[in-house]
Amino acid sequence: MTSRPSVWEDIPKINRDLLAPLQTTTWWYGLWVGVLACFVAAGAGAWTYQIQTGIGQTDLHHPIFWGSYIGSFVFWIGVSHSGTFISGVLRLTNAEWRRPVTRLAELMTMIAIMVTALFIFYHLGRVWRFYYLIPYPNQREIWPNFRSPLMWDATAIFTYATASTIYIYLPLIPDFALARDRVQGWRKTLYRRLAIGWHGSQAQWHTLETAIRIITPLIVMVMISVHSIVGFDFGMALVPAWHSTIYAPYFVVGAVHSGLGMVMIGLYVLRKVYQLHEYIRTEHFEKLGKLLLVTTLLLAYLYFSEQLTIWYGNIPDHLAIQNALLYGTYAVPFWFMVGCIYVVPLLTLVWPRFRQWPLGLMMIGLLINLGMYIERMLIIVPALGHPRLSFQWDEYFPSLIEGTILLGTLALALLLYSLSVKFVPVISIWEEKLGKKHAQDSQHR
Amino acid sequence: MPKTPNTDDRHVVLGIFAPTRTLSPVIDELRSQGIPDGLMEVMSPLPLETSLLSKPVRFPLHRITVIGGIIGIGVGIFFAAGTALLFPLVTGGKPIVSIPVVGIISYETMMLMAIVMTFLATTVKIAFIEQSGLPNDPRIDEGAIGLSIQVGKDSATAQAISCILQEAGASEVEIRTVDHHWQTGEI
Repeated sequence: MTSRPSVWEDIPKINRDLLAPLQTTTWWYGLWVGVLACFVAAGAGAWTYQIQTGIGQTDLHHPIFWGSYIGSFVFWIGVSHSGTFISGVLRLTNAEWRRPVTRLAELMTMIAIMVTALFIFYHLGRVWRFYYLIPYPNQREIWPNFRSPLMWDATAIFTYATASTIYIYLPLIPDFALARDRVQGWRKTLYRRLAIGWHGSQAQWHTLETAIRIITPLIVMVMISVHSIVGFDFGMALVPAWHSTIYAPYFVVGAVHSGLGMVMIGLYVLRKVYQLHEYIRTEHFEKLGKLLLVTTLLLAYLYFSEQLTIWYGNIPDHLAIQNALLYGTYAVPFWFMVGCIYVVPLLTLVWPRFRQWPLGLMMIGLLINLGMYIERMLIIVPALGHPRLSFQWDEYFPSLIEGTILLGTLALALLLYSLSVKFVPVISIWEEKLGKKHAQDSQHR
Repeated sequence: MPKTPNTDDRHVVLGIFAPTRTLSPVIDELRSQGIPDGLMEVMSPLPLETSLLSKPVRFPLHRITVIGGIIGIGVGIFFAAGTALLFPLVTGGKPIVSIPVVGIISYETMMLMAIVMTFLATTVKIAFIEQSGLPNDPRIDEGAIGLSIQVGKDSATAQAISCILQEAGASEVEIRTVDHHWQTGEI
């Protein structure tokens, strides 16, 4: 119980600094939200049009029945892994530097899952029949087919969405209590309900910490299973270039790769906009940069193994797809993708000085996410466009309606994130205080 | 000076201490006066490393997680195997119940139920159990440590405890009346 006072004296300042984004709003924030809302409205309009006129508004056609919606689904579920990975794995390994990063990453997880779910609905031809996926004894007297990997996917994503919501909410309870006593009006009522009577007693802290300790390894296990199952969607299919054992681990590592890139972008923007340099320091970028280097190497290794196996096997059906990627129709996006997610990150992140340059790391994060999006599309389209009978070969490019919906959904993700920053402290306040206390205690040992 | 309440309702004595002070001696003193740990609460802006009271350790959250997981396995087996048996469709001579599928679905529902049950137990515990009924104190949020003691309706006891807290070095001591009272024990 005895400790030096300096950390305790810092507490009012930490409260003030980290609650400031909730209490102040500028005109440019309103403008930003307004612009995003316009894009979201455009996306909603395009989706409404697609629902009215049918899925034929997309460029989906035989034999390419999965396109940008499923590609986006895979991409966004990957992004959603950032929060769980950074928060969960780093919490498990007791990495102290995680503290300013976890909340931001967990918020990304939440928003990415919401966006991911939307892509399932976009892809449904008759979206009003969505409840056919829910297992209940309905009027058709038939249950969903649990043998289908798509049903595994639905179950896993529901589990992941629920678990992630819980995982972000629990550490928020003390921060909601803090905000509750510093705002007025409807927000006070809302925070009071969300804080569920928190007043910082030892019993409450003990219960909260125990719950977080129990849930953390569970959610890491869920995270790995969810993206493995998304990989199984492809790996279980007897489609050339998909039917491979490598898809599950490849998807897990790829998800963490894009998630880390996205966290890098979020960290940079929040640090800049809300002047959080004191909390989000260069060392955080540097450590995330090292992690990103590891995932780059790991992903490159898995990708190389897969492509080498296809090339060496020389099976014509598989080789046709590889050739289309390396020299054919998809060569330009393929090599651009290789540059974005492997070459440029490797050439830059190996340099210690580069890893200490937040702007550079943010740009690498952008490149990685652009590259990973293209990579998701290149998993789907070339494989479906090159079935075993070559007279069926075809190409695909997203239609204007699809493009508008994709853009609107990206704007929705940004809008939700921008709004959540005004509602939730972007850095876990109590964990930040605890981190400072641990740092001080370790200095005195 | 301690503030005296106007009513004879249930009282809670709240002492605010600087974070550098150790609370163990005052808690021992209160225990020697016959106040059980169940009626005392230590409040802080961040989790303290040492447990000053014995009550926080008695909550079987792990067991609830395990029970949730077991229920989840049952739910998963029902969905993946039970529904297949309810509506048997023979596909390519394969068995009606697929063991790997049952494993995958059961794993997900096990995790789901384990996490949800842990969450529900945690929120119930945080929201309803072992609370003095005091509202959150902003001074504690700003870095102080609070020690609250529930003393029932007896104003004299409340005054005596407030004296003990003051002697122990509390920067402020208040006697408050509370509306809600979750504890059954009284001094």
